[in-house]
Amino acid sequence: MSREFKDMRLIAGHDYRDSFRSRRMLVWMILYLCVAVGSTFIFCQVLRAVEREIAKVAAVETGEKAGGVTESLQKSKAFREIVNNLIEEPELADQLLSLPPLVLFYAWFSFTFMPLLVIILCSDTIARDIQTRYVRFNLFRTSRAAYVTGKSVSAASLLLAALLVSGLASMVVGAFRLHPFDFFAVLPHILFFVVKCWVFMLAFLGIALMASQLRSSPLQAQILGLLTYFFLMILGPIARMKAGPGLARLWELGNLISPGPKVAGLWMPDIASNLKAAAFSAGLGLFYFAIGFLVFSRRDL
Amino acid sequence: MTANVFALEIRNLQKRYRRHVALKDLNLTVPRGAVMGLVGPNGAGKTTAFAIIAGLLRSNGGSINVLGEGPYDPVRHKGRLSLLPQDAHIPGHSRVKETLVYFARLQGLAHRPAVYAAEKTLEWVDLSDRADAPVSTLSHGMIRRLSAGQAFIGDPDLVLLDEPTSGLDPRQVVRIRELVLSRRGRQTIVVSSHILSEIEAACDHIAFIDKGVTTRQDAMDNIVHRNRSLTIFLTRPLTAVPDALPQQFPEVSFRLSDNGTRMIVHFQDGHSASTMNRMLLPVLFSMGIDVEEIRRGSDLEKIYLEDPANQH
Repeated sequence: MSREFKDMRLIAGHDYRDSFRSRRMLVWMILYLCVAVGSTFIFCQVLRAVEREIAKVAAVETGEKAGGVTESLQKSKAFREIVNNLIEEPELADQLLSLPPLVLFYAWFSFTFMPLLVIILCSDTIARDIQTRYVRFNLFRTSRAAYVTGKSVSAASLLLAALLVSGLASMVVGAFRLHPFDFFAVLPHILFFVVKCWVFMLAFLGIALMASQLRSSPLQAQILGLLTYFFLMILGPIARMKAGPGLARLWELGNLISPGPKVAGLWMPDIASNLKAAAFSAGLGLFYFAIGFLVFSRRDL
Repeated sequence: MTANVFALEIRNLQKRYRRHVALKDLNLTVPRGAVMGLVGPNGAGKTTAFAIIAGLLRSNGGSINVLGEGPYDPVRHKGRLSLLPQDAHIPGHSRVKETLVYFARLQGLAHRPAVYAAEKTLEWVDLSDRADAPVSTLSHGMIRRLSAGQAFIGDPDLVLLDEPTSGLDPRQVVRIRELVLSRRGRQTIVVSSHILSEIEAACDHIAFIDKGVTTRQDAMDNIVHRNRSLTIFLTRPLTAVPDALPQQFPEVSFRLSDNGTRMIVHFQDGHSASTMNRMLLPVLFSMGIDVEEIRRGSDLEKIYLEDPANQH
């Protein structure tokens, strides 16, 4: 094993243990737990209200808990036709109709809102060490590359743990608020989407770590991370609209560097699309991380 | 050739922070095994120089040769250089021993030797009883000792200590000095400090830096003339050097300082301090001049303050 890799592993392990001691891990877990529990609870309430309305219109019975009508609806031919007409890709429509409502909600919520949490929580990872000059205890002992990679690996592991906690918390709320709810049937779907969501988040982690390497103040790094995030979230849809032949092809570049569009591939049921989207997301994360490192590797610390 | 003689060679080092020039023309040669003191006022460029040597800052010119292998490189110098940074903070939630084990492992030690080195260091800096405590529960002095300890972990060849005694009480200052002295000859140590008496007590080489320029550099013995001068502390001040002294010792020069309370005696290389004492004291006593104390060489503080290169 190369010395660089050993150092990177050492730094990642130390940072991960440090996140327990500093209660950073606890803050992450509580935040992700609260967001998951709160949003799933609201989802169940909304679903229950919608189902009551549907039951009233269709003059059918509805139970105490939410989910029964939705499940019947998902199986009904008419609803399937509506969804198939709305979504142009039949494979994706089938996938959406085959997933339990809770999984659909968890995946949608995670893909949509968790990136913001990643930007807020991870943008100060390296900037904090620069500000306190803690880097000065480390960087005469190892390379800058090993240091930032170790910190990034630790942040990525922390993110996976937080997503797992949020997925399981959603399931616990679902078990109490939804009916029918087959815990062991839903679990593999949730775990699968936890992994997909984690890979998707790597792109945003890359943005956060880029900001963290560019600034010496944690606050400035967070602001830079957020500005980049919002810019890319706006750029993605605009680039998709404007892309066309000739010079308009340049807009495809905007689409390429925006993490948002990559999510479509992760919704697809086939592994090939999933892997392609995952590779794009991870690659994009690496791209932003590398931009940050380009400056970090040369800057005064 | 120089690789065998010098642990550190700096030639015409320059560093600018936008318009501010931190290092203008820094030159330094530190022999292997030496304890070199870096003396200079605030803003002289000591911390900047340390940071450049350790690869934390980039220079704008000049050259550095660390341990005979060129400028700092994380691969080439792995585990061979260490630094006690001045204003850096170890996170408060980190545990004392675990932090040292982590630093030792990054220094290149395997797990078991790293644990052993951390335990030895804790004994050495007298923090064994706080091994499992969070850093935030330590006093300023303890943190400074911990920081000093981490600089020696893994026995690096070159140790840079930036103001190791700043903010410490006298007892802790003595402890840090003892730590440095215990390593003399085993490692090359470069230490910056404002406390000249500390530098004088701990270092065998010294360099004066001012406004990013090395104004003077030599062995401590040569700077304070340990082998060529005596400082005699008088009980009663004299208004002038008695005529009889230069007449009796024509090859020796005498001068009064500090309002006549000290007599500085410069003698030729052929004499030793002890023979000078033997010859001089009876004469002084016979003249009714009472002596409180005799010191070899001159006071570093006086030499530094009287050196025209260090005048502002």
